[in-house]
Amino acid sequence: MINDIVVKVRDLHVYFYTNQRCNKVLNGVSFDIKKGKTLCVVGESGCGKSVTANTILQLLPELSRIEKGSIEYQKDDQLIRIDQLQKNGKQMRKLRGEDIAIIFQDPMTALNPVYTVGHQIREMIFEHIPNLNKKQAFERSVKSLAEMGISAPEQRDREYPHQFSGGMRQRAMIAMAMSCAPKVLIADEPTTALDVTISAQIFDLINELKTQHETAIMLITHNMGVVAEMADEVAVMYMGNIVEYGKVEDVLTQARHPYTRALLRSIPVLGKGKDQVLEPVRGMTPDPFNRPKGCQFCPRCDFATELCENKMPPETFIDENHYVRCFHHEEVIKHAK
Amino acid sequence: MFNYIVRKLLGMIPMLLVITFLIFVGIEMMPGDVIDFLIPMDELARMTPDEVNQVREALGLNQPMLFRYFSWLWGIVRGDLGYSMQNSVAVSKLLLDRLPATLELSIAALLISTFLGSFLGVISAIRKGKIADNVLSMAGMIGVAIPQFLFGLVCILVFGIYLKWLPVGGRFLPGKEAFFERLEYLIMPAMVLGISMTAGVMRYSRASMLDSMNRDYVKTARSKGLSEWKVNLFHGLRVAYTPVMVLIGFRLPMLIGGSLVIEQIFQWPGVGILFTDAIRSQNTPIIMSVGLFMVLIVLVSSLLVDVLTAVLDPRVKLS
Ligand SMILES: Nc1ncnc2c1ncn2[C@@H]1O[C@H](COP(=O)(O)OP(=O)(O)O)[C@@H](O)[C@H]1O
Ligand SMILES: [Mg+2]
Repeated sequence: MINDIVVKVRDLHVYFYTNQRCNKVLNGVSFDIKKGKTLCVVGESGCGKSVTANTILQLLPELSRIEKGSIEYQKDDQLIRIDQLQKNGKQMRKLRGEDIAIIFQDPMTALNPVYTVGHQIREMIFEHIPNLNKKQAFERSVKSLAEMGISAPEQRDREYPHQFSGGMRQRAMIAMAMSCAPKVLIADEPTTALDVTISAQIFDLINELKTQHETAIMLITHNMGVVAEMADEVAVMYMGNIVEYGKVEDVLTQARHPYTRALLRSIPVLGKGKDQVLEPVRGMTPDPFNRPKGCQFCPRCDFATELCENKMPPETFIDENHYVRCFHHEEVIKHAK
Repeated sequence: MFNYIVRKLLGMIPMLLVITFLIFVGIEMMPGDVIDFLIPMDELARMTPDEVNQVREALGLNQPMLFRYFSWLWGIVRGDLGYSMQNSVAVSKLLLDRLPATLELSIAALLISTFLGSFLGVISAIRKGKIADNVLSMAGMIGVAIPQFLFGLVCILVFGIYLKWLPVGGRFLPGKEAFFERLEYLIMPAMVLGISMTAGVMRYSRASMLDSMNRDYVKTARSKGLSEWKVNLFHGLRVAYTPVMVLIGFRLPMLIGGSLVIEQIFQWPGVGILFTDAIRSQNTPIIMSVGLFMVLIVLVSSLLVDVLTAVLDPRVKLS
């Protein structure tokens, strides 16, 4: 069981030092990414989802750093402390693409406009399998395009990104990410820039990777509907913390954090009919440079007390796999019933 | 591509006609009479109006302006650039004497500024906010602020007169005209001109590189495990240098006009002095020929920029 954990993140703190000010973007984030499972990270924009994803690959911009915490990667029998590797050093670079691959939100800008799609895939292949010859590499890039459902892959391989549609580009990005058969795929809001039907196709593709290749998947989204559809496990993030974490069925049906509940109320539920009341989450996200002292959600919370204002609630385990950062989680769940 | 180039070249013809005609009218409207520059003062004073008129007649100055423009144009079509009004030397001979010197100097300077400017700009962008970047930005600002002639004179003082490393002016010693023998004459003017043109290229390529390095595809490249130099070179720079190439293309016309000041300071026997003299004395055939040449370079450079952009950026289609 424990061997199924591929990436283990514990108490991760990441701070940004922009404009002489410190932005404490992540304040103690812990989660696991497991083989053949999808972890969905959900939360409003600006809560630190992308930063979490980029930190795993040490792709953070300058002026930011891991202050505290650990990121462990289980490579076969070997345990690698990613947080201790040099940022763009040889070991870190070897993990990128070969072990952990990432795709980004906007496939329009994530591909380089001046190279053919095939060239960009082969760049990755050559980096990690340098002894291939040109023909083998070409076959491999064509194969990975074909596997992602791109028709006429040999011809597509020679085309430039601007000749692809948005959905096709995201497929090409996934083809690139999967070309070296990584153990982990991180997808940072992969369908936000795409329309609904195309999104559904991309999600199907990601599910296929999970079942067929047992890829461990970390899927970032701001949409609870996607969580319900895709997740095995969920991490709900708010202002640099995971406020609730657990198996998808637990979190969706037994949500114990007021923020999780608020998020759930803000999306339509299938089968509940047309006249369900949708409430957007009340209030505004605080200024990241001027964060509340205690629980970050406190100013927007119905259950807030003086304790919440002054102290950040610790991770409280409901059971082995389910934790919540709320002093009043008992009350929250009682209130809901 | 071929069709495009042919079409563009044909399209240049009406433009050349209009512009050269405007230059011709411009010369016509300059104050003063050409005769005053052609015949020395005291001689002119002794001549009768009839005699003066004879000279005019001989030079064709009494013909209507349109007639003179078209006879110049007819000459150009036949490959005849005309004769200097001052001493009746063929303009083609004058240009052949002078043009290689100017081109030599400005091509050297253009190469120096292009390579130095883009190299320093890229370094500056990669090391943004670090010491190297700050020093280079400062140097760039000083470079833009210092006038060419001052920079040239200081260099002559230091390297020519004080240190005696390089000759202070001229292009070669008589009899020693092989390229390597005159190289030492070229170094200082080319460096002064080149360095004074560098700051602009440097600032532009720094901005372009920074813009490119902030794009998502650079992050994608990094996420593939590419090393930093590959990320910077093959992704950052590869996209950044298209606009830099465009800038350099638009600078090509400087090949003729840009070295004027430097030619004067270093007594470089180029077109610069010939051209300024010609303008001062309203020597129409010379002005027209050099003007035509400049306009041609401007038009051809913009065509070159178009073609280059299409070659460098697959998104651009020539049409
Ligand atoms: N490159 C950056 N420079 C400065 N601050 C950043 C940068 N990227 C993210 N941040 C800050 O980190 C916080 C979280 O951002 P992000 O992880 O992008 O949010 P999201 O959950 O929408 O992906 C925000 O407060 C944002 O201002
Ligand atoms: Mg994001």
